[in-house]
Amino acid sequence: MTCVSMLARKILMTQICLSKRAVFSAAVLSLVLMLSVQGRIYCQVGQKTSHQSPASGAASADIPQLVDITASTGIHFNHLSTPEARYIVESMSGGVALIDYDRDGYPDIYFTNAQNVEMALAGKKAKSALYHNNRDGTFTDVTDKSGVGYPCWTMGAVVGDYNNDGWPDLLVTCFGGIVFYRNNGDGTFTDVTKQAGLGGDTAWATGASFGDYDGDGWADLFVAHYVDFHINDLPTFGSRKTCQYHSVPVQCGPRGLKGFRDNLYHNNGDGTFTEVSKQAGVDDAQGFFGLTAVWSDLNEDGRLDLFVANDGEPNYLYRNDGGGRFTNIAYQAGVAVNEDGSEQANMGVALGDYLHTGRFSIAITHFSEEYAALYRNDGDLNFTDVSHASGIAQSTTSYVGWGDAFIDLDNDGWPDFFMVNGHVYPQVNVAGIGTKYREPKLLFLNQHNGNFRNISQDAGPAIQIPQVSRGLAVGDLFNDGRLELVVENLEGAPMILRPEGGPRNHWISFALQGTKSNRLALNARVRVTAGELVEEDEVRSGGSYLSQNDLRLHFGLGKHESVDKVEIIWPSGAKEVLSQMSSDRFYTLQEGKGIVSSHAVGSSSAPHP
Amino acid sequence: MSVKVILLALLLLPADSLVLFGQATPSKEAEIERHQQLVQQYLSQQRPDLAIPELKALVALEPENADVRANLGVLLFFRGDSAGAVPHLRAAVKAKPELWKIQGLLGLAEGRSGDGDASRQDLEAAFPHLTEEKFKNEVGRALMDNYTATGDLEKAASVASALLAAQPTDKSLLYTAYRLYSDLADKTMLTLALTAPNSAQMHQVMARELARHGDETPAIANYREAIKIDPKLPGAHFELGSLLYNSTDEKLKAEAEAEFKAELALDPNNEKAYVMLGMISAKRGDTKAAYDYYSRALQLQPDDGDASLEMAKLLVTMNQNEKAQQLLEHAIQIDPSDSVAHYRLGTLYRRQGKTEEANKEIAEYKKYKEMKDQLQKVFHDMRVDASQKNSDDADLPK
Repeated sequence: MTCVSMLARKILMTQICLSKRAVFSAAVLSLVLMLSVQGRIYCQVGQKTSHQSPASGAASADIPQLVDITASTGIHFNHLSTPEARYIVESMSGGVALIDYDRDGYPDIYFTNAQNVEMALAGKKAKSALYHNNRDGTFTDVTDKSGVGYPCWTMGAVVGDYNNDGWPDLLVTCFGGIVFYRNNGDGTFTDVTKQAGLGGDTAWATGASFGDYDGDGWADLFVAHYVDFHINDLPTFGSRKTCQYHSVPVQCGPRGLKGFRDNLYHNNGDGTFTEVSKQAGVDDAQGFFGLTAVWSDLNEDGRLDLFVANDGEPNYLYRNDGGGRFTNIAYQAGVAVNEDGSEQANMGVALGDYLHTGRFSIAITHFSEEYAALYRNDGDLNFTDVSHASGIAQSTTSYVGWGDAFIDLDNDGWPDFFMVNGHVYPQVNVAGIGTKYREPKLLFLNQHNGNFRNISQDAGPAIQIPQVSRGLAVGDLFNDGRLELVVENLEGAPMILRPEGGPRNHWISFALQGTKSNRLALNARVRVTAGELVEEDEVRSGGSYLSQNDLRLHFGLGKHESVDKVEIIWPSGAKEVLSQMSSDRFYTLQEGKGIVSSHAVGSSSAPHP
Repeated sequence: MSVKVILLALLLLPADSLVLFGQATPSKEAEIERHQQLVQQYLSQQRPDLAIPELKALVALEPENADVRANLGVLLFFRGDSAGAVPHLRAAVKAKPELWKIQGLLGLAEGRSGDGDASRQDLEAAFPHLTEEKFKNEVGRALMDNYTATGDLEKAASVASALLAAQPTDKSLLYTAYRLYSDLADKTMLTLALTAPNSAQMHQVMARELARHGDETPAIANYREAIKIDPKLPGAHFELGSLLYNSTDEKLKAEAEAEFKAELALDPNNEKAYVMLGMISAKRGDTKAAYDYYSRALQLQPDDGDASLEMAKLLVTMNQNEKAQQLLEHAIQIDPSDSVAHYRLGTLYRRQGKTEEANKEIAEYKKYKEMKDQLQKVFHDMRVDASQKNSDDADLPK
């Protein structure tokens, strides 16, 4: 049998292998093809999973309860939305950023907002919002004073310090390019997009991430782009096969539309950037539908690699070869496509050392009828799709996942996994397929053995409330050693979740300041050893879904009241080792100087880089 | 008649046939030689019209000479005189039964002369012995037409299979085979419907047909009815399980496992059912159960490509890369177009530092993946009529 006929046979027979004695007919092919749903769904016959309902059972004392504290925070943000979401551009916004813009040691929150097509055609804009953390559990809207209310048709936001002045700057990605706000250090920001040399980026920008890929001490910038989409040339709702979902008319795209290339900007160290995408080899010549991008030294060779999640296309894993050059090795590394060699609708990205191997694995959220994928980092840029074996995949196939994070909610020293969901098509409610537009969130508890347990129904009622969620940012908003989850929803108000109850474990938190390295110490790695616990994490810009987590590194310590050793690997390559540090405290570590400040819980001057 | 045709005609006979005339008296011999020379001369001048009378003269002189009869038959056939060619070709075959090409030509001539029975006999006799691809193809097609005309679809299908074995990518042949197989399926289904309309098998057939059209719910209902009528119906549980497994309805999907287990209760040697149970277990995160199921499948059928691939995938998650590699290499031996096996093998080679081999496997993966994607696109596009396609284009942003 030739390869061609073997392939045809395989397609016919794959997974719907009827009786081994039966003759395989075209009936099977029809069925296989019919299962290839249009739009973002690239469901793979044979990789379908049996959906397990979230674990049921009464709340356990071992499990923190995630409580919705939004109302008490004084945050009244409202993300605009349209009931029909007739265009894809109306479904993709919602990144959220934690940024301690005033350096008071308490994370503030920036919510992105987006108009719809009708508003845009009428010249109306949506207002994003910056909320100042009042250090008392409440926040104050400081948008107008700060000057970051109307950057653009906003998608997401990330934090970096491009001029190493110590004040975190804010980069906003937009349908229509990027807007870069320099933090003036006085509670205001200035739009320096053009003068920084970023004004040429005018396409639909999505995931961005700062990282010093060439080790010169200045944070460079990568910007992923999504669809080549123009408001004056809109695809017709429901008109084509790629504008239907289970035969229901929906918005068109991204399948069927054209993608747009990504950009890498080198920081010149003088307040400007130079676009170097092509020469670096990260220009995405094929124009995949780029969403979230993250810098990380995934093979621990001292050079930052770059991971880019592409929606419905193979992901990119750019290995940093040095000399400003990268090579995409995503296929060889096992992260381009899933375990069955199929592209998935890759949305949000979380990195974490959930196995305590000292390596960061990659968790990616996907569309419904796919599964949230967990790629275990086996070292040397080799990854294995362990989504099913780890227990993550089973509960996620019904949902469209977006922001995600490895977060140690119970401070036991093992990162748990959290993801937010919400469908793209409001019309899915009438499709009769059991999937709804508004979806609950999912929480998985790390079992310390490579497996996770779905505890979504044991962690309180708040996360079971169905919403159309998008962005997710994690940080200790109140400097009390518990990590909050800030969820931005496409429809209306955000949801801020606070873990309450559960084990009373110890923790430790670090704010890092680079000196030779970039000032925010982006991609500095910290390894904490406390008895048998050896944990590792990294300071990162971007990630989740178009969002920004708190830049401080938080480690749960279980019952350990002190830390034996803390090893810091700075982006410059410098290594520092600290020993015997007390738990339940915030430390500020400066490159070359060690601990420069330390505060216990409740201090009004908790540190921030 | 073109030179090509004349050459083809001559090729149907042994190369020395034109000079192998029988013994004769000297005067007769001289006459024979004269006609023979003229035949050769006219053929070299591409004048079969002139060669034919000379061959006829030779036949008159030596009516038992098989070669002369054969050559005359060939020339007459290619001039379109099938009826005239038949007696000469038949005489040649009678005298020399090993002239398979001539017998094939005789079958073609008889068919064109309206003698279907004789045509079938000669085509059937000649077909297995023909080796020249083009001529065998022509004889085979004539034979398939003959069988089809009398409703002997099974025989026609067997000829199609024989031809496809030699020409697996021939478009025309592929279509003919497709038509035959589907006609055969229709015929079988009709026969079943007429003879056993309420049988378990009829429901099984209907289930398959409904599944073919994407009618999942009635397809499942028919499978269930088939099993209700005959709980031991071979393959029914497995087929139902496969349909359920691929359902987008989570409740239905969850019912697949029981069907595969039911199939195994009836047929403990069904390795495909073990593979499916392994896949279900693996997706549930039950590595041990998946390992046991795959092991059993491979024990039953070591050359099951799916079992090899799925076991390899599981072994990789268990960090047993060496065993996984062997299974992936075996899966590719079984099916070189298995894109997933190429992909997974590529990642394993990279781990061993075999960069070149890894890149090669990834290239193979991409090649077969692209072919598969293109095939799906072809089927998709064909389901969309031209007006819809135009409409689609109009809706695309510029």
